[in-house]
Formats: sequence, C-alpha cells, structure tokens
Amino acid sequence: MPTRLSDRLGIGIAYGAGGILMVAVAVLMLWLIVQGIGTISWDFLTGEPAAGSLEQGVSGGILPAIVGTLIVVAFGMAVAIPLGLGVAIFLTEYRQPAWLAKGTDTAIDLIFGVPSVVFALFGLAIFSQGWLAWLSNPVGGTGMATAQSFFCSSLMMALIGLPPVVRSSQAAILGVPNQQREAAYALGKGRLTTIRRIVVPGARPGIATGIMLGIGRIAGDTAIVWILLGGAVLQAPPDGWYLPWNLLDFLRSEGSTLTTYIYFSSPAGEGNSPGPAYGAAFVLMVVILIVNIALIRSSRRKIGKR
Amino acid sequence: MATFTRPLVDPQPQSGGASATRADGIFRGVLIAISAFMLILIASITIFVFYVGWPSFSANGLSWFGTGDEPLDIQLGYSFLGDPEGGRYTTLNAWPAILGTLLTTGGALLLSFPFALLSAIFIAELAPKRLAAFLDPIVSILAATPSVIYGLFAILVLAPLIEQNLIPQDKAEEISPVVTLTGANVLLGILVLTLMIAPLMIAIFADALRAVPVKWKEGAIALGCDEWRMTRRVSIRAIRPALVAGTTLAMGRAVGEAIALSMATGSIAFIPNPLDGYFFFLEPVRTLASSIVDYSEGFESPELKANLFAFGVILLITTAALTIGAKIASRAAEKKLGGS
Repeated sequence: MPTRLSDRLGIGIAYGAGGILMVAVAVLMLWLIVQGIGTISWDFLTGEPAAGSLEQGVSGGILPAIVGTLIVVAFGMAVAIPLGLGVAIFLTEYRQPAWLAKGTDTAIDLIFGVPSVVFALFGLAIFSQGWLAWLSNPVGGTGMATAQSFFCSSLMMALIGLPPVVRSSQAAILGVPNQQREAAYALGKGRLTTIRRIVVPGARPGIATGIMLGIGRIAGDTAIVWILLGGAVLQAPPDGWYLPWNLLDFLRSEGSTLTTYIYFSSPAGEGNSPGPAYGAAFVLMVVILIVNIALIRSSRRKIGKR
Repeated sequence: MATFTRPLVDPQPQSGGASATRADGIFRGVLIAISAFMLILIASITIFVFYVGWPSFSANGLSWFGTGDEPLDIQLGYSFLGDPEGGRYTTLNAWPAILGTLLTTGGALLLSFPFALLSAIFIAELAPKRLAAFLDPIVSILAATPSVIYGLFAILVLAPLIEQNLIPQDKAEEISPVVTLTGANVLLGILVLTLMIAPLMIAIFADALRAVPVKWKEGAIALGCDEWRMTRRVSIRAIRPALVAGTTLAMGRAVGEAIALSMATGSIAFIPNPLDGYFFFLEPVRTLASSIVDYSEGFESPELKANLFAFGVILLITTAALTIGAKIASRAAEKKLGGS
C-alpha cells in the first residue's frame, strides 16, 4: 500500500481513468444496441432504399449499402494483400538493394500516416483523367471521367488496407526461425520455394492479423467512399445489378457503403433521419466486431504456436 | 515500435543447380518492382495533390495562411459559383480552417494524453488480471470503431446535451447575429476526437508498459518504491519512445479526420472569439479535412478544386512531418535508453 498521500492520489486517479473508460465503453455500446436493435428488421437488412427517398428522408432498406461495403472491402483487399505481402517479403527476406528497402520502409510509414481524405483527392485527380474513364464513367463532352465508381474507391481503399498487411506480415516473417530456412536451403530448395513453402505458411497467423486490420480500416472509412463512390445521393442499384453481364457496369457506377449511408442519413447529411442511421451504424459495428474477434483469435493462435 | 533488423540467412546459391532457377530471379524482380511502386506511389500522390492545389497557393501567396475580408465559407462559395460580378474568384484565406484544425486537434490531445496514460497504467499495472484481459480487446475494438459512428454518437447524443445544458438562451440570442450557437461546436469536435484517439493511445501505451523489463520494476520495488512511484519513475520513463510514437500517431489521425469533425464541429468556418470567455468553445469551426468533404460536390469548379486540393497539401505535409518526426524522435529516445 502506498504510504504518501500524493502516491495514493495518483493511484486513485489512475483507477478513476480506468473507471471512466469502462463507463464510456458501456454507454457507447448500450446506446448503439438500444437504438440499433429497434430499427433492425429483415426488411431493413435486405430491402432496397424506397423510391423518392430524397424527399421523405431515408426509408427502406440498406442492402445496397451492405453490398457496397462488401465490394469495397473485397476489391480493396484483393489489391492490398498481394502488394502488401510482396513488400513485406522484400523488406524481410531480401532487403537488397538497401536504398530501395529503406525508401520503401519509409513510404509504407508515410502511406500509414496520410489521411484517407488525401487519398480520396489523389484518386479524384488520377481517375478523372479521360483515359481512365473505363474505371468509372465519362463526363459528357469534357473528355474527363466522373472518378466515382466501385473500381476507383476500391483502388484507393487498397492503400488504406496495405500498411497493416505489410507491418503485421513483416513482424510474422521475422518470427519464422532461421533454422527452418536453413533446413530448406540444405535440402536444395531455392529462395522462392523456401518462401512459398516455409516462410509464408509459418507467418500465416501474422498475415491474417494484418488482413483483418486492413479489412477493419477499409470497412470503416468514409471519406474515400464519399468522394470516390459518390455519397451525395443515396442510389438504389439498377435492377439485376448482380447478374454477371450487368456486373461490370454496376462496378463502374456510383453507389454507397454503410459508412456513407450513416453519414448521409445523420443530421449532418441531407437525409437527416436518425432511425436508419442507427440501424446502419449497428450493422457496421457488428461487422467491425466480427473482424476484431477474428483478429483476436488469429493473434492468440500466433502466441500459442510459439 | 519494433525495428526490423535481424540478420537473415542469405543462401546465395553458388552453383546453378536445380534451386537457383529462373523463377527465383523473376520473383525477386517482381518484389523489387512492387517495392519501387510504393516509392512511385507516394511520390505521385505528393506531386498530383500539389499540382492540382498549386493555383490556390500561387493566387494568394502568403495571405493564403491569413485571414481575409470575406469569411472563408463565402470565399469557398464564390470560388465554386464565381464572384458576384460573374468573374472567377481565386482569393482564399484559409486561417479559419487552419485554426479549426489546431483547436480541435490541440484540445483533443490535451484531453486524451493524460487520460490515455492513466488508463494505460490502470490496464497494464493496476487492474486485476481478468479485468485487464477483458479491457484489452475492448480498447482495440474502440480504436477500430469507424469515425462515422463516433460522429453519429456526437451529433445525436452529445450535441443535444451540450445545447440544453451549456448554452443559455439569452446568451445564444445575444450572439445570434454573429453566429448561431448549436450543440455542434469546438467542444464537441474536441470530445469526438478524444473518443477517437484515446483508445489508440491507450493501446500503444499499455503495450509499451507491459514490455518494460520486470527486472527494472523489481529493482525499483527493492529500493523501496511503492507501485505508483515505480510506475512514475521507471515505467513511464522507459516507455517514452512509445509515448512519442503514440501521441504523434494520434495527432496525425486527429488532423486528418474529416467525417467525424464534419458532423461534430458545426461546419461553419467561424473564428471563435477568445473574448467570449468559455463560449469560445461553444462556437462552431470547420477544419481543413472536413472542408474537403463538405465541399466535395463542387469539384467541377477548377477554383474550388484548387482550394480543396491546397487543403489536402497542408494535410499531406503535416502528416508526413508527423510520421517522420515520430520515427526520428522514437529512434533518438531508444538510443538514449539503450534500446528496449
């Protein structure tokens, strides 16, 4: 037991901070659950936004937003995982030429730190070039492109998902014991085979952690979607968008995700209808929770393996 | 922060053999190309954002950073629609947005740093093991919660509370010719940023506290320190690199946060008046990042586009400086402490 009054006070304050943290968490979660559950229904989850929803606020379901989040996450990670893994392998297994390794390392740090709204601006500058109109849609008569599509936003999302993949994979690859590499080399295996058969499988839990972190970041980002997927008007996707021959057109069109749906239907957006916003926030939080539980499990597995 | 410098075996296949195949060479080439692409990417982000934003800087010179005759929101509106005489409008004085960013980020850091440090001490050193094991994942979930959810919480729950309890009617009416006071203001912006960045800092600080060698702590206890003294004199000093790294990381997040602040700060580029006493914190602002989102429908106007990209340039420079500064600072601290 601390003797001095100041010390006891310090411990007391630390306990107080911990208490405030717990209360804040409880309030936040309870609020989301209480408000969200009321809105959630089968129709809300699987319905499409009602026609004329601009005038009446947001009504109808959020299926397009859920699908939008899934698409952006899937496409973003499909680009981020191979790139991130490649960079991680280069930075750990090769590190030659040294200047490139050093530069890439700093570049990853910088990409980690750049706010997503700046990526959105960059995407806008790139994808509005006329010759990239096949990624979105041309703007009539100007030779420019709208730069608003699932393709455009997913490509910028890849930049958000990339750094966690690199860093987690890097740490995991370093954790693979050198003896295992040496054993592979001793058996006459080349570098590629060793990396493919020994290093990457050994680092799998860490890579999974990075992927989960990336998914969480992409699913939660709003600014990129708002600017590069067009959040201003919540659109219902065209009929039959999921049919294979319509899919390409759909992916080149504007859309929404859960995050922009929430932003749009909050009092700050034009929709201004808290009910659906609560519902969508609840669904998004469930997604984040699932990702985090997977994250915790994958990192536990990593510890268990040692 | 882990430093990734461990000697790795380098087989250098001497004889060609079956192992040093062409596939190995191609793979190596692909990896080098991917890594070089990262460098090209960060360079082209910088170049493109600068290039598009440059007209805004060149038209205004140093007064870009100052205050102007017209309020910022009117300037941005003119740059979208053209000025009242119908000409192009390129004047921009961004001080209100810069001030808004400084106020919200600064306030949130002042609020969240002590709170995060104390909470981290609670989780890592004081709390019973079971409670700590429960709080750990909670903190990381909070850190991963999308900012738009915090923004929603701020505007739907906290804003009405502020409006009803902190803003007296008579004072609001007195100020109303200048600016309308609502629940969305500087204070709410600071609160929502604190909610966002505190978990991030707690997670980093707590991790670092756990990594402090037990020997050091035992040494302090053996010298007669109690728990608190040991924490203060040994643990907190030992984790200084993490304190720097966590705080700068959080600061970068706060500076670049667009959505939550667009929802919480009232989104009026007002310059809060320090003479208003504590009402200073109840006046609305608009930050650099949230301006970009708020005006995102006006990109077809070249003038407005240049202005918004110029905001992006400032954000890019700030966050890059923070990233590199954090790296240098934590490296220096690690060197001083002999590594941890």
